[in-house]
Amino acid sequence: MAGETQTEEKWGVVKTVAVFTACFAVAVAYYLGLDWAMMVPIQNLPFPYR
Amino acid sequence: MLKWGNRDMARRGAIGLLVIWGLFLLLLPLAPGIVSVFAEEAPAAAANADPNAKKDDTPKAEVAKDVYYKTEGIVSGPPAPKLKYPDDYGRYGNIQSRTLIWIANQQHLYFGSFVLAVPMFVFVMELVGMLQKDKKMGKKYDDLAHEMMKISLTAYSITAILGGLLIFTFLALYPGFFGYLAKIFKPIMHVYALLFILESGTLYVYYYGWDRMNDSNGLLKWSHLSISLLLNTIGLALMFFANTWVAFMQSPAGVDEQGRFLGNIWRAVHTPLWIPIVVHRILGNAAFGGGVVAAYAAYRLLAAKDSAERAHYDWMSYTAMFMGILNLIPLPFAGYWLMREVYAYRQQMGITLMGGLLAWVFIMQATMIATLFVTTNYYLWQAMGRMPGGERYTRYFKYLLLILIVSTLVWLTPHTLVMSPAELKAMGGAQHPVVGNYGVMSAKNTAINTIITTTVLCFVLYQRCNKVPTVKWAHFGNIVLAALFIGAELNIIFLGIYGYYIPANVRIGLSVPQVCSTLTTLFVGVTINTLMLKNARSLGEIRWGTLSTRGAYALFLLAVSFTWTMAVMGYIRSSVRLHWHINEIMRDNSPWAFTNPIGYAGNINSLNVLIFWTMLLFVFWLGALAAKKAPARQEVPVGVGVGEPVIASH
Repeated sequence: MAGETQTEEKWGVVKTVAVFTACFAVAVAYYLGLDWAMMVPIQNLPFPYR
Repeated sequence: MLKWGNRDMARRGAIGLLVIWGLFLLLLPLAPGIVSVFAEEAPAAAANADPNAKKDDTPKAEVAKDVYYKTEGIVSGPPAPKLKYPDDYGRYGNIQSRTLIWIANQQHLYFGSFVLAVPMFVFVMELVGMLQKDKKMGKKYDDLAHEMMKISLTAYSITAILGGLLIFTFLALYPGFFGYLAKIFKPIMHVYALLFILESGTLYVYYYGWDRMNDSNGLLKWSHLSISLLLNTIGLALMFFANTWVAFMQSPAGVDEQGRFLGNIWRAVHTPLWIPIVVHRILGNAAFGGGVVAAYAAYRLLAAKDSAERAHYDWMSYTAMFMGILNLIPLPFAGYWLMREVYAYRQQMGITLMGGLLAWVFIMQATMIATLFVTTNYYLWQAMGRMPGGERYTRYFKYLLLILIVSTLVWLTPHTLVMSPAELKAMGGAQHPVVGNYGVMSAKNTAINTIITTTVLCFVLYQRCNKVPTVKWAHFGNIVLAALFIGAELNIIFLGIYGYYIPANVRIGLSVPQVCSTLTTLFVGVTINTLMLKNARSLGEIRWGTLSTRGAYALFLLAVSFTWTMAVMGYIRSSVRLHWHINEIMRDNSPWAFTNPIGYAGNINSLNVLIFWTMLLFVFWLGALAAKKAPARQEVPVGVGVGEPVIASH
């Protein structure tokens, strides 16, 4: 939330977007990995389905 | 040598007591097995003896196959009787016996759920109080726990009375059925009754010994806590046992296809739906109990005469609601597990529930669940109104509400509509070309996971409502949280859409990663948020006692919604057996072996809710009557809270 924190340096828009993109990519990788793990080894179901 | 003043020794001693109790309670489930070893088995062997056999021939015990486990066992009981009406049924005038047993059963379940849930909260509150470094805060939690226990005390007696009423109703109106059930479950029923005696004694020692055993976290206090643990364990054991009969009726095991008991009580107890029902009920009861206590506190808040009393009950209502909602969040997942086990046990039963006769009853349930979650979010928004700094998040509420409404609409959408033949023809089929797509599980799972994720987000906002993070990585933490929630939601939606393009047997597995995405936001999101708020700068104390009236009414709605949801779920569970008392074993041959029309069921559910709340108001009134003193009064100006509980400060 902009302007909320007091002690750390302010980030610019570019840096914020870049860091968010990186975090989002990690999150997507995590969730896709979670999907695979919950389907294939845990339930013995194909993912992705072919 | 133990020194009474040595707190460490007292704690170790109490932990020792807890361990001993724990071992005792772990062994308790063996009790039915031990009882059954000494139980007299029906002389099936002698009954099956061939009268023409030579005298020195030993009659062979008849062996039969378990209807579920498919193992062989020695026949140890008579077949399930083929009941006849009116010989094996009772009746009062023109009243449906099924409706009478329905009401008796539901009332007992309501009060049983309440007295199961409240000690769980009380245990947590007492423990939190004992672990507080701030003694004043510790006493607040302890007093809250004591007050919660007082509310439930009368409810225990009513639970037992209703249990007696239920048994008499069974004996009077369904003697044939109940006699058969009692033959099989007699060891369980006796242990059940004995546990009630143990529970009563434990309860009275626990409640009346509260002040006497309060030696400022010494041995007595820890012993008192261990009594609470014992009380909870007995309560859970009682529920485990009671659920064996319900689960046996729906998915029998331990008997052959004629209903003859095969001698292994564990098989009859451990039916395929037993544990899923237990898990779903534990969470449901805890959510329900939290809602009821929160509603009680909301009423006392509105009726409070001074600011200190208002502050106390505002805090109590939040604490109870918080514990209730903590159990509400995983509840749909437990329900989904139960449904999967129903489908695994009998696919037709699953189809009856969600795709056939009871599909519209599940739409009623969906309405109630949506009400619960939207009301929870609404309460949290109202609660943020009493926190300095809450105005920063007010602008986000409309977006959260939009997400909740859209998800609710998808969640509620039925697959088939009630239509006339002309309407069917105009629509071109049984399903609407657009809206019909939202009536399937792929859409439903997506909707409910979205609703729960939104509720988690709302709670994360509530946690940080009156705080400003001061950690150096706060901005990065916010970005991580945003990525976590957006990623989870996109994954949930992706899996929901993906489910339309794959076969059904693969699609049902997608609910697991969807659930895990939601749980990731809960556990990881709340953890990150909590870490971010360490040493955060406070924008002001929570203004306990200044919750809006709308917020208090939201708690009333929450409690009544919980009650109605339980009624409709009980109706569903009973109705799915269709014309069976015990599925595929004992047929219901009464005149009421039909599925009630949905309107009638709704009316009886509402009647049950009304009866329960009337009795509960009497319980609350008694509790208030017995109050010796009002909550600790402090001279504080209106609008300023009397203290901030640890939970809300995270």
